[in-house]
Amino acid sequence: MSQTSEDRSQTRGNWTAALGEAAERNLPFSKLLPGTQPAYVASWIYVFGVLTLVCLALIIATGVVLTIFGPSWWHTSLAGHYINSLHFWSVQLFFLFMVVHLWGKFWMAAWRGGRARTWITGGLAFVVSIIAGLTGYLLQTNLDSQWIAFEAKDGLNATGVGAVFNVANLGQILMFHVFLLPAVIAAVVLGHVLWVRLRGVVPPIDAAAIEAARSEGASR
Amino acid sequence: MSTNAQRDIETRPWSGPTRHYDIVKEGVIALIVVTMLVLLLAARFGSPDVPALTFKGWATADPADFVTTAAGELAGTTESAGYGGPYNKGGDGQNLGPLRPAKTIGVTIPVDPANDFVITPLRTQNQPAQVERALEKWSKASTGQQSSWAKAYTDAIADPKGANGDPSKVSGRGFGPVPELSNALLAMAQSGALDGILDAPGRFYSTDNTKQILFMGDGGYLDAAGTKYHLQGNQWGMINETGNYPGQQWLIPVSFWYQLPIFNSNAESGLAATLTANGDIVILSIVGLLALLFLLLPFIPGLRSIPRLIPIHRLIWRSYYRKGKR
Amino acid sequence: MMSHDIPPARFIEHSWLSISVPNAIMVGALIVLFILALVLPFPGGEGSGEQR
Repeated sequence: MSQTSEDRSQTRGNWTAALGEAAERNLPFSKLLPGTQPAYVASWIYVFGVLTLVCLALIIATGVVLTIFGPSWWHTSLAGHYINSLHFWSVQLFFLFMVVHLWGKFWMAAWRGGRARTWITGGLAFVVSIIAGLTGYLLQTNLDSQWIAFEAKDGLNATGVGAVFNVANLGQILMFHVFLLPAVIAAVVLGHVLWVRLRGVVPPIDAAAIEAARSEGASR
Repeated sequence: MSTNAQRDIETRPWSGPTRHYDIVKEGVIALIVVTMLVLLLAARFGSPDVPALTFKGWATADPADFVTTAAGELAGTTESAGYGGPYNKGGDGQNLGPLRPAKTIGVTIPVDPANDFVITPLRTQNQPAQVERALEKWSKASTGQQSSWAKAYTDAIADPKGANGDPSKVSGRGFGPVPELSNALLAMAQSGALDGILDAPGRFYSTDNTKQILFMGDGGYLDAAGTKYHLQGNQWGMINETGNYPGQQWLIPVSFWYQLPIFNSNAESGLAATLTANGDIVILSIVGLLALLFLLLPFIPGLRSIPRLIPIHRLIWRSYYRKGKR
Repeated sequence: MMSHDIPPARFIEHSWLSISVPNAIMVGALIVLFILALVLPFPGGEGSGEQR
C-alpha cells in the first residue's frame, strides 16, 4: 500500500510511525510466516532449530507447574516427581537438539551474508542455557544440589564471580532460575528467530555459481 | 564465480527457486512428537532424587569425622577457615598471574567458621552446665590460646600412634574447652537441632545455605557421597548425575580441562604445581576465551573458513547442488 | 517418600576417559542424530514442489 504525500507529511518526524513503517518494510508477515522456503532448505538438519524451540516451550510449561508448587514439592508428591521428570527430560532433549542445530549451522557457515547476529544470539542462547541448567540442578534441593553447590563455588569464587553469584544461596539461585535467566533466554531466542526470518535462511556456499549456470541454461 | 556475486546472493532476499514449506505445521508436528517422547522418557525412567545429606545423618553415621571437623573449625585448619574471599581473610584465593580476583574483591559473603559453625549454634540452645562453662572459657581466651587448644586437639586426634582419627580415644590434656565444645556440637547435630540453625541463628527467615554447604564440605561425609556417585572434579564430576541418569554433559567443554594431568599434579613446584593450585581460575579463563572465540567465530579468519574447507555442506545441500549441475 | 538411596551409574573407564553409561548414551544419540540428519533424504526434497 502506498502512502499519499499528505500522509507522509503528517507522519514525518513521528517516531511511532517511523518504527511501524520500518517493521512493515523489513519484516512483513509474508517474511515472518512465509508459505515457501528457498529450494535448498531440504534437509533434516533444518528441523533441529524448531525441535530446540519446542523443547524450550516444554521446559517453560513444566517449569511453570514446578514454580506454582515450589521447589520442595516434587520430593513428596508423585505428580510433582513426574512433572520434575518431564522438566528433566525436556532439558536433556533441549541440549541434544540445540547441539545438533549448532553443528549443522557451523558446517553451513550460516553466519554468511550479514547473519553474524544470528550466530551470536544463538551462541549466547547456548551459553545462557548452560548457566540456567546449572541453577536448575542447584534448585533440586537434594544431594546433587549440595554437591554441585560445593564444587561449583570454587570455580566461581576463583574468578570473582562468586562474590555476586552465590551458588550456595538457594533464594538467589531460585530467582536466577525462575526469573532472570529465563527472561534473558526468551529475549535472546526471540532476537535469534526474528533475525532468521528477517535475513532468510542462508544460501548454500557457491550458490551464486549454480544460480548463474541456471539462468544461463534457461536463457539458452 | 566472483565472491561479489556470492556476497550479493547471501545478502539479498532469495530470488532463486523455492519450495513449499509450512513452518507452523512443522512446529506443531514437532511439538506433538517431542511431547510424546518426553512423556514416555519421564514415565519410563523418571528422574533421580537422592535426598540431601543432613548434619544429623553425618553426626550419626560418622561421629568421629564430625567431631574432627568441628575441632578443625575451632582451630581454623579446615578448607572454609583458610578459604579467603569471598568468605573471609583466611587465604588469598587463586591467582592468574598478577590477578587475584577473590582477594581484590574481598569479603562479600562473610563466613567465620569457628563462630558461625560451632560457637553461635551452641549458644542458640540451653546447654548443660559443663558446656556453658566451656563456652565461657572459650570466649574469655585470647585467639592465640583458642587456636593453640584447638590445634593441639586436632593433632591429637590425627596422631597415627595415638587416637588415629578417633576423638574418643584421645588422651592427655592441654586442649582447653575444645573437646567439650566439639562433643556438644556433635550431640546437637545428632539430635537434628543443627540442621536449619546454621543459616539464620535467631532469625525467622532463611534463604541462604552458604554456611551449611561450607561446613558440610569441610568433613568427609559429603566427600564420600560425591565419590560414591562419581561426582568428584577429577572424575568428570561436573557432567555426572546421582543414580543411573545422564547429567550435564553440556559441561564437557569445562570438565575436560579438569581431567588433564597438568591440572591434577602432585608436583611441589614448577608449572604443573602452579596450574594445579590455580586450576579453577586458569581453566575458567581458558573456557571463557574459547566461549568468546565461539561467539565471534564469524569474524575470525581461518576458523570461519573451516566449513568451506571440509565440505560437509555438500552433503547437506546435495539435492540443490545436483539440480544445479543438471 | 519419593526419594531413596539409588545405586550409582555404571562407568566406562579407559585411561583418562571416564563416562557414565547414561551420559555415553546421550553423547552417542547426539552423534547418531547429527549423522542421520545429514544423510537421510528429506521428504519432498527431490524435485517436488519446486517453483520459480
